[in-house]
Amino acid sequence: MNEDIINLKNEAFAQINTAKSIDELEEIRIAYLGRNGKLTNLIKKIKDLPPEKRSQTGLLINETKKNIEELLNDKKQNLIKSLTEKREWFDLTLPGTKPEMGHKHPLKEVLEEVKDIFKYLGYQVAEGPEIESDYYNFEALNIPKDHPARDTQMTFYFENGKILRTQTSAMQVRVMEKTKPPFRVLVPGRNFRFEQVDASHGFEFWQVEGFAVDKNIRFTDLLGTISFVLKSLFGKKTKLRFATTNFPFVEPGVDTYLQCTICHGKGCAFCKNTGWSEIMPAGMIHPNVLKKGKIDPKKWQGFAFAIGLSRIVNLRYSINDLRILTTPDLRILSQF
Amino acid sequence: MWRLTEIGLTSEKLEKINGEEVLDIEVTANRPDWMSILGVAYEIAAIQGDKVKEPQIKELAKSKKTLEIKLKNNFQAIERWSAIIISGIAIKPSPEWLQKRILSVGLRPINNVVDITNFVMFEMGMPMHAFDYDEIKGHEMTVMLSQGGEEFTSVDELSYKLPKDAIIIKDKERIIDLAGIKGGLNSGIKANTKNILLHSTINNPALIRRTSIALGLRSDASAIYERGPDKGGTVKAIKRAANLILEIAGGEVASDLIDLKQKEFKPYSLDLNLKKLKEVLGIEIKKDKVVKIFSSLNLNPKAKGEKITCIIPTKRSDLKIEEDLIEEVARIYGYNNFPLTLPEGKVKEEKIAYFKDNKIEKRLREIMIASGYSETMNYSLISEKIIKDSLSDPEKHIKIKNPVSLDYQYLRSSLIPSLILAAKLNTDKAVKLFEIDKVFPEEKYKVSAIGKGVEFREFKGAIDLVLERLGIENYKIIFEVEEPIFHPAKSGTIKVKESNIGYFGEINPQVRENFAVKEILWAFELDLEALKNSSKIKTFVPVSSYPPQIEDLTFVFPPKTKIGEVIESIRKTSDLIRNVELKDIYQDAFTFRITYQSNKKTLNDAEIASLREKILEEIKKKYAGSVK
Repeated sequence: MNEDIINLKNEAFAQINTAKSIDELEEIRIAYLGRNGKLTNLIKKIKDLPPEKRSQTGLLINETKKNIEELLNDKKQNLIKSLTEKREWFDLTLPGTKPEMGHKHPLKEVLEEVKDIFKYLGYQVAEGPEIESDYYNFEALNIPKDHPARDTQMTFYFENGKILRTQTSAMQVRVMEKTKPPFRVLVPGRNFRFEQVDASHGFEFWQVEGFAVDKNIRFTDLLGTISFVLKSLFGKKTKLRFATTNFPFVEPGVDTYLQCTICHGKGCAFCKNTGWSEIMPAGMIHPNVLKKGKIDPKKWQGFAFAIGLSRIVNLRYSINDLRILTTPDLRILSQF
Repeated sequence: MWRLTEIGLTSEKLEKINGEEVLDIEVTANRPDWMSILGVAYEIAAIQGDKVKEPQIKELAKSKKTLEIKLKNNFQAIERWSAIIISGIAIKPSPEWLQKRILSVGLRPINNVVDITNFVMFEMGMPMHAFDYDEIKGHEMTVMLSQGGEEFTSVDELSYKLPKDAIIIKDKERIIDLAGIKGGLNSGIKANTKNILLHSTINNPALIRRTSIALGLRSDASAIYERGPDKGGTVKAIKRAANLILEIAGGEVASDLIDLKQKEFKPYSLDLNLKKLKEVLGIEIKKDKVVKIFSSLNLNPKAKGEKITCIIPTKRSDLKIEEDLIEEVARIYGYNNFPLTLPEGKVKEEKIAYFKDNKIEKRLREIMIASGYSETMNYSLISEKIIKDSLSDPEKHIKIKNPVSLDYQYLRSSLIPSLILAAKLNTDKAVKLFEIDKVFPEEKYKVSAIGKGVEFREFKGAIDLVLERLGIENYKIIFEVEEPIFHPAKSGTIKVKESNIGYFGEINPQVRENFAVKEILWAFELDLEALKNSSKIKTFVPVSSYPPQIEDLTFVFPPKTKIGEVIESIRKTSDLIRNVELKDIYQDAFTFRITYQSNKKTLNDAEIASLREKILEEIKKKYAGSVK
C-alpha cells in the first residue's frame, strides 16, 4: 500500500512537471484527487487495512495529497506567469465581426432626444389627427378665412371639407378645450403643405409643437425654454438670437435664429450665406386662442413654440437636402 | 440690419443699385405700413431716436371744377374712395431721378403719370391708380362685385376671366378697373392722354385676396391691400401724387378732392397697464422707458399711475389690444436684452387630453433594429398607380382634391407598398427595412417590415421575437389574409382571441410583377394598438438550481402538419419541459431540441423517459406523427 502511494506520487509529480497548460493541470487534479481519483480510491481502501496500519497510511496519503496540491498550485502559478511574460504577438487591429443590427432613422433619433429634454422640463406628450378641420388648423388660431398668413401654409383639402393639417399648432385648442390648466404639452407630428419638393421644401415635414399655460408664465420663460432646449440639443456653446415676428396666434411673437452649426456663422449654402438659421418660431399665446380653448385669458397666460424637426436633424448631421430624410436608401440610412 | 430684423422687419440684404441704397425686406402680414419707404423710415427713426424727413406736400389749388365725374360706391367693397381730376397734362417719360427710383424697386418705368403713382405707392404705402378721364364713358364710375365670367383686359394687355365677387369699377359701358389689383387697358394712361382721374381707395382685403388667388395674379397693390393699408392715408397720398404730377407732367386741378366714406377714420386710444406688462414680460421696465418707447413710435403716450394711454394712428391698425402694445415695448426694448428663465409653476399630475404613450413604439423599434431591420420614413401620400399595383382599391383611400402631383394624391392605408418601393430601390443582396407610422383613414399606427433576399424562417424570426418580447402568448395563425397584396397560399393572419394583430407572408407575385421586383419579398404589418392590448408584463420565473437535461428528438409527420402548433403541444405536455426548439428539418423529418428541468431536483433517467413517452403519445394522437 505504502509503495503504491509513493509510486502514485511520483507518477503525479512527473505528469505535473511536464504539463503545458492550466487545463491539463485540472485534468491531472481530477485524475488523482477527484471523486474517482487514484489517490481518493486509495483512501477508500484504508478501511480494508489492519487497524494498526490505518493511521500511518492515512497520514501518508494526506501528506501525499498535500504535496500534489502544492505542486499543482506552484505549477499553475508558473504557467500563468509564463503566459503573461512571453509577450507573444497578438494583433488588436483585426476588425471584429459585427452583429447585423439595423439602423434607427435619424429623425426619430432626434425626436426621442427632444422628447427627453421636454420630459425633464415637465411636459407631457400629446398626439392628434393629421386629417384636421379648418377650424383647429386656422380659425381657432386667429387665422380667419382670407388672412394673408395662409399664404405660407398652402393647404391640401378633401372632398368633405377637411384638410391635412399644416401645423402642429392645430393641437393647441384641441388640448386646451379638454385639459384644465396649468399644463405643459409637447406635440410632435407630421404636417402637410402644398409645396413642390426640392432641397429645402417638401409637402410633408415634421414639427414639434410645445405650449405651456399657467398663472404666471412669462415671456422670459419662453426665451429661457428655447435657449435651454437648443443648448441641450446643440451644446452649451450654441449661439442664439431672438427677433420679433408675427403669427396671428401669438403676441408678442418670436423668431429664433441659431448660428449655423454647419459653417459656424461664416455663411454657407445651408443657411443661405447668412450664418444663421431660423429654427424655432414662438410667442406668448394670443388671448383669442386661449378664449377659443375655453381658458380665461385674464387668469391664465402661456407660451407656444414650434421646432422645425427636419431642420434640426439637418443641422445636426450636416445634411443639406431635405429629401435625404425621406429616401429609404440603405446607403443613407446605414450612416446613422 | 440685424437690429431691424430683431424688431420684426426682417432685412435680407442691403445693396447699391445705380448708386441708390436698396434694402431688401420681408414684411409680415400684420404691418401694411412697412410696405412703404416712409413706414420703414419711421421704424428706423424709432430705434435710432431720429426724426423722419417727410416729403413736403403743398395744399392743392382750388379747382375751377371744369370736369365732372359721378361716383357710385359700394361701401362693402370700397370703404373709402378718394379721387381728384387733373386736366391738361403732358405724358412723357419720367425724369431720370424718378426712372432710377422706379428701377431700383424692380419696376419698369412707363411714363411720368404711371411712374408717379407707383412711386407714391412705394413711398407712402398707398396704392393708387390713374385713369384716362376721357376714356371713362359717361363720366361715371360704379363700384360693384363681379358676377363671375366677365372678360377683363389689364393695362399690361393680359386677358382674364373674372371669378365671382371681384371688386370691379364700371363706367357706363364696360369694366375699366379690377380694383386693388390691376387697372383696365381701356381706361389706362396712353401717350396722348390729356386729362386724368387719380384715385386712392381702401378695398376689402378679403375680396382682394380671394380674387388675386383665383386669378393667380398678385400685384404690388394687392399685396398691400391684403394687409389692409392706412385707412386715414388716402387723401394725403392723393395730394402727394397730385403735387408731383402738376410739377412733372403739368396740368391743373380740375375737380374738388372727392372723398367718399361712411365714417371718419381717426386715431383711437389704447391702454397699457404696467402691472400687466410686467406679468407678461417677466421683467419690470420702468415707466419712463415705456413712455419713451411709445413716443419713439409716435403713439403719443400719456402716463397716469399704472396706466399708459396711447393714441394709435390709423396707419398702425395692427395695434388692437393690450398685448399688441406689450409687443411694441418688448421689441423696441430688444428681445435679446431679456434675461432667460424657466417656468416656475407645478408640473401637472393627471394626464392631458390626447396624451400619447410611446412605450410600445420604442420597444418595437428596438426589437426591429436588433433583428437587423433599418428604419425608413416614407411619404404618407402615394399615387393611384401604387394602390392599383398593390391590387388594392383607390376607392377605399382618401383622395386629396388638390395634390401637388399625381404621384402624391392618396393617403396610404398600408405601409407595405412604400416598403416594396424601398426594397426595390436598394440593390443589396439582402434588404431588411421597417417603418412605424400611421395609416389612413383611421390614423392607426402600424409596424411593417419587408425582407428581400431573406429566407422565410429568418424573416419570421422578427415576428416571433416581437411577439415573445412583448409577452404575447396564445396567438393563433389563421391561414388566410384579406389583403390581396399577399400571396394567397403563403400568408396568414395573427390572432389573439378575437382580435387581429396583423398579417404576414409572401408578397403576391402579381404585385411583384407590377412593381418590377424580381426577388421574393416577405412582409408583415402589425397593429400597434392590438399589440399593446395583447402584450403582458412578464412574471418572473425563479431560476432552477438543478441542471437541465437536453436531448434531441426526431419525428416524422404527414404533409400539412402545422409544426408551430406541434412545438406548442410538446411544450404543454408537462411543466418540466422548459423549452422546445426546432433544430433541423430534413424532408418530412423534424428534429426538436427539448430541455427538461425541475425546480426541485435533478431529473433522473427514468423521469426523463416517462416525459419522453408523454411527448410521443401527444404527437401520435394529435398529429399522427411518429419517431424517426
